[in-house]
Amino acid sequence: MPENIPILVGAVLTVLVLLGYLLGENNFLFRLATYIFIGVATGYVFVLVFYQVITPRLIRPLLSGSFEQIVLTLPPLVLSVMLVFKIFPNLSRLGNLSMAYLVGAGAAVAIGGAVLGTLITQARASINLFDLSAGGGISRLLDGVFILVGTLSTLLYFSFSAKAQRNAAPQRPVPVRAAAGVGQIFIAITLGSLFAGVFTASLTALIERLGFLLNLVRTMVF
Amino acid sequence: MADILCPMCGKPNPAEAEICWSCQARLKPLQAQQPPDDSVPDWLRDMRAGQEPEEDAPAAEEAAGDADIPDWLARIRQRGQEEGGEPQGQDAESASDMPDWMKDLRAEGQEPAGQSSGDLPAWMKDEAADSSWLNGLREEGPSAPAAPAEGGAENDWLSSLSDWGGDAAPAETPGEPSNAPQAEASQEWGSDLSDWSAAPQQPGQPEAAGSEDWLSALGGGEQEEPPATGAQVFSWDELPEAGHTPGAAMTGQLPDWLGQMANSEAAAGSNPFLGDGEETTPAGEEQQETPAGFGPFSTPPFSDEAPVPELPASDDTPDWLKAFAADLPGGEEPVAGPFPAEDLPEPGEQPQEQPAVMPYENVELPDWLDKAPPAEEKPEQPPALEGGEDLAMAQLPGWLAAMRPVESVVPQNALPAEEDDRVEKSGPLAGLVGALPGESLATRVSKPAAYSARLQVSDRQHQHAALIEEMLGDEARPQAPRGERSHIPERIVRVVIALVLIAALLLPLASNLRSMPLPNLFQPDTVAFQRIVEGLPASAPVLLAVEYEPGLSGEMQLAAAPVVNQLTVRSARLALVSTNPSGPVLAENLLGAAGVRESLLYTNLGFLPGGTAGLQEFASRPRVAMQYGLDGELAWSTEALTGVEEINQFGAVIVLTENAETARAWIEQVQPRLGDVPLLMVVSAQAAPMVQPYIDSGQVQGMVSGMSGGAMYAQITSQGGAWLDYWDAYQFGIFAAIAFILLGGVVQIFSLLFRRPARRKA
Amino acid sequence: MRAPVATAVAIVVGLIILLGYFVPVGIVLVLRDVLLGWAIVLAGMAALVGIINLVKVHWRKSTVRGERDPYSPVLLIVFLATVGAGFALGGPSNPTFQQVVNAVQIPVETTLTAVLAIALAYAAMRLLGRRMGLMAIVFVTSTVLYLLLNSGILAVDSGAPALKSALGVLQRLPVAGARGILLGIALGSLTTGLRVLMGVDRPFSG
Repeated sequence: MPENIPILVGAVLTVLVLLGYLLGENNFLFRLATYIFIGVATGYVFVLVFYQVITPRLIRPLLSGSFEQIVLTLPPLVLSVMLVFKIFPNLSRLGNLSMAYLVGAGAAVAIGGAVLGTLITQARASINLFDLSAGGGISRLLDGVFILVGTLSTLLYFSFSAKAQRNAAPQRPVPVRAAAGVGQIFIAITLGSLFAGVFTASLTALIERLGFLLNLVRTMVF
Repeated sequence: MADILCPMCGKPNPAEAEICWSCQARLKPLQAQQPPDDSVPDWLRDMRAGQEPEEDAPAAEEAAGDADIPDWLARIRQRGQEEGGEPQGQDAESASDMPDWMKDLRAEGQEPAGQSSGDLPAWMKDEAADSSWLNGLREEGPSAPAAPAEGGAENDWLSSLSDWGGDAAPAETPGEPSNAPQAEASQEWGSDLSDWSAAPQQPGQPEAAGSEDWLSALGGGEQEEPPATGAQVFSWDELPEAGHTPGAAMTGQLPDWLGQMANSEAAAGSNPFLGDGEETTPAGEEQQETPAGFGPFSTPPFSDEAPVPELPASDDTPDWLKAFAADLPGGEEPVAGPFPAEDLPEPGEQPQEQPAVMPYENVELPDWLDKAPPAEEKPEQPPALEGGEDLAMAQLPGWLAAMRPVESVVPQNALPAEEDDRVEKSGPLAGLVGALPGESLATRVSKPAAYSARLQVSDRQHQHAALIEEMLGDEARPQAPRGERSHIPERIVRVVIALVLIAALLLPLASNLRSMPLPNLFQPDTVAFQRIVEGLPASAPVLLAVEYEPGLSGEMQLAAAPVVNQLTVRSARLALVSTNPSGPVLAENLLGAAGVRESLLYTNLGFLPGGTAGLQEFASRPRVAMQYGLDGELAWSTEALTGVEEINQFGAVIVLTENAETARAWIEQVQPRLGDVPLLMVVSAQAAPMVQPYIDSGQVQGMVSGMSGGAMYAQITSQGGAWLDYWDAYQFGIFAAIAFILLGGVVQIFSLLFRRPARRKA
Repeated sequence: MRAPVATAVAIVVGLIILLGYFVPVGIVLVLRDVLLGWAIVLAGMAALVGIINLVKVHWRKSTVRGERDPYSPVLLIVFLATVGAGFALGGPSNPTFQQVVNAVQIPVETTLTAVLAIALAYAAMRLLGRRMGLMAIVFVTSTVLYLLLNSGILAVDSGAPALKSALGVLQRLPVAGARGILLGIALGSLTTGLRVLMGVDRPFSG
């Protein structure tokens, strides 16, 4: 029976959250369920990070690593200690260096990934659609034109550079506005598909929860 | 260098000091800092430069007698007496009322015509070269009135036109025409003077070259362009007549109006420098004697409102100026400074009909200010040849009327003009015009320059201001009051929708009908995915990234279970990794839900921190990034990861995620290092549209999206599973959502149809 | 200039790592890997710092008189119990400890996601009620079409010859817009990252 405790707890929390939504998010049961959830999640992450990050990357090299490993561990150790000062408002400035390190590394990774992983590859993909040697004939060409027009017009929709006008609010040039109008349609289509996907995903979650409760009831009743 | 005495407190100050250390009064005039070519004549600048120390002498010391006279002034007097002799005639009689230094000046002015500036004292030699005003002092009286008009083609005379009254004073100084070569040495202003001074020497000849033609025409009686000088008293029909020669009888050379002045001087004891103003004619009498031609000019509006003769002759007014004022028509005191724009009468109108003074804010500088007037506009006739009796009423020409706002629009031009005709009231230079201001500069209260109230902004600034105004207006605009709606209907609708949706899902779940058709048309991406997995070599290491959140674990498990089952069939060795803290546990759950946990060879590498940075390091050196597994043991020595050193040694990399951002991170950071290793995605339905372009670009080789994708994959591989139990509910739920959307649209259309007639009726 | 040392650190670290993307040779790659390894440690420590700060806040809310939050003690107790169980059971690999995820996290999060379906259904019903316009009609039409596509009902071969072509076109429709959005996101990431590497943005100097 102890193995069923998590299932029962899960069922209770499911009902609490479901009823909480129907009755309003400010009721006692809903708030209690969310606080329990946050407490468990943070506790789990704390343990996981300690065992998966701190221990193998800081504690083990210092305790049983080679000289090289120890030396290479000292900088992140110092930066980590400085980062702890962020907890204390009076000393939080000492943690700026560690935060700067993180931000710099994150920015570089984001730039490299965006350029090599998206900008170049997606641009090349749009060009390759016009490669008639790959086969496909006129349908491929039409597909390429459609994708290219949709891509460019969508990008132009997010272009907010406007030309200054006398005694009037700045407006984008007419060609850009026209292209942005076309892009708006493409964006609406894409967002519609995303909305359908979100609803489908959440519907599947609802089905899974209802199936879970139904199975639990069947198990308990029968 | 001698110290500068403060005109306010008398304390000595260093020569370079601009402000008195004791009383903070300004020691040097502000104009000295202005560019030299603005409106200040060179002679005035030179005078300021040379006379600054001297002009600070207090007036009390001058009155004390020779003992208190500075040495330089004493030398001037002595030299003047030696070279020029004693003043004669009327001048000698009036000498007692004059300051000594003025007597000296007069004596010098009465030198023979042959005397040149070479006879001047040393300090005046320097001035004579450039200072035409000194020549004017020595020249005959008639030369002075025309002096401001002489340079009329240019800017300088304009600035001094309104100050004509002040300039008239030195013109009254008797003297003989000078042959001094002023023209070649002086600036424009000085050359005008020299030209003008040459006119009496050749009476009867038109002033074609030297003097200004328009002035001659005015003097000749042509009334088209009388030079209006505001309220200045000036009769153009009484200019010098032909045949008059400059000589001993100065009044014969003078025009009538100056002759009147001379007569009045004679009546006052033949002293051109009237003393104390006791001889001033009452204003009423003077108004009766006003010549016809003076009408528009001599009766400015302020003459009725504030008659100057009622004012006692103040001590500040020099005697000569008082005498001149006594002869003015209407008894008005000539205004020494620049006329305020609002005090100027309108041209060609009677004072009573003068409209209110315009603000002149929009008046631009006339072209003639920058350019010389065209030659055809200049009258050709000399004043002596034209009769003066038939002169019509003088009218202020348009160009001259346009001059007035210049002083308000360009105040920096007005200031030098004011300085030019300033009469020194005290000290050794008392009575001199154009002397540098001393004590009055610090205490002078002048009317502030009228600047345009219009803000000078560019078009771009206008647009930015309009944008900000629009934004602020939107914020400040009160929102239309929305009707107080109870939350009860909304909540009821929400509950009803929830109940309908739950019922639509529970019905197929409870009944387990399985009535809906299963998919038999498959997406190309799903088929490609299946083919790649199908083509994996047996026991190939596969990296399975479990990157979804617990909230969508239901959907992801339904989508991924068929894939994991096929991997188990292929005897794949799995390495589980996740950048999501819940991922390691969810990976274990996935394997458990698929029922392959016991049969599959796998290693759970656990949690990979650092997000995209962690992914980059993992792609670069996976053995270092995830050295230990979730259980804390060395991961890469396990059987599941045997032979894998780099990430491109996996048979395939499969990412399970519900987040498009996570999918993008794997594509951007890991895929470039995979080489030929396929990157496959099992994604939630909500992330599929954003992953599709990467499939199109070839960066992702296959994709299973959502529950329907899992169903297709299962159909392709002929698998069963939990998805079959949920398939009907899944489709029912989607149909219910479509029904809600359509129902909402219908309700909206009907509400619009019924609302419009109601509005029309209203 | 605020935080010059921190800014210099961010720029230098960022440039070295960025160089590793475009010049993947020798010392650059070694340096890049070392710096990335340190960043991962710091990221883990940042997570711990965040959790400690959360606990600190709830501890304050639990102890401050007058504004005492009755739920904060529950959170603290559950947190401490979870951490205690984690250390007592030997870490996250313990199946019993993993039940905290199965018993609490998955049910709560899944139910919250499930509730989202109800909220979206309600929103879907009011899609056209908010604003009737061309874009709203396009959006609603697209939503209905892709709901049908996701349902799998169209994936049943009914013998209609044009069905496959129609499904293919439907699947390609969002690609154009999605590609434009992805390019926009990438350009935004590029711009933001460059601003950090040029020292224009210094989010760490607060």
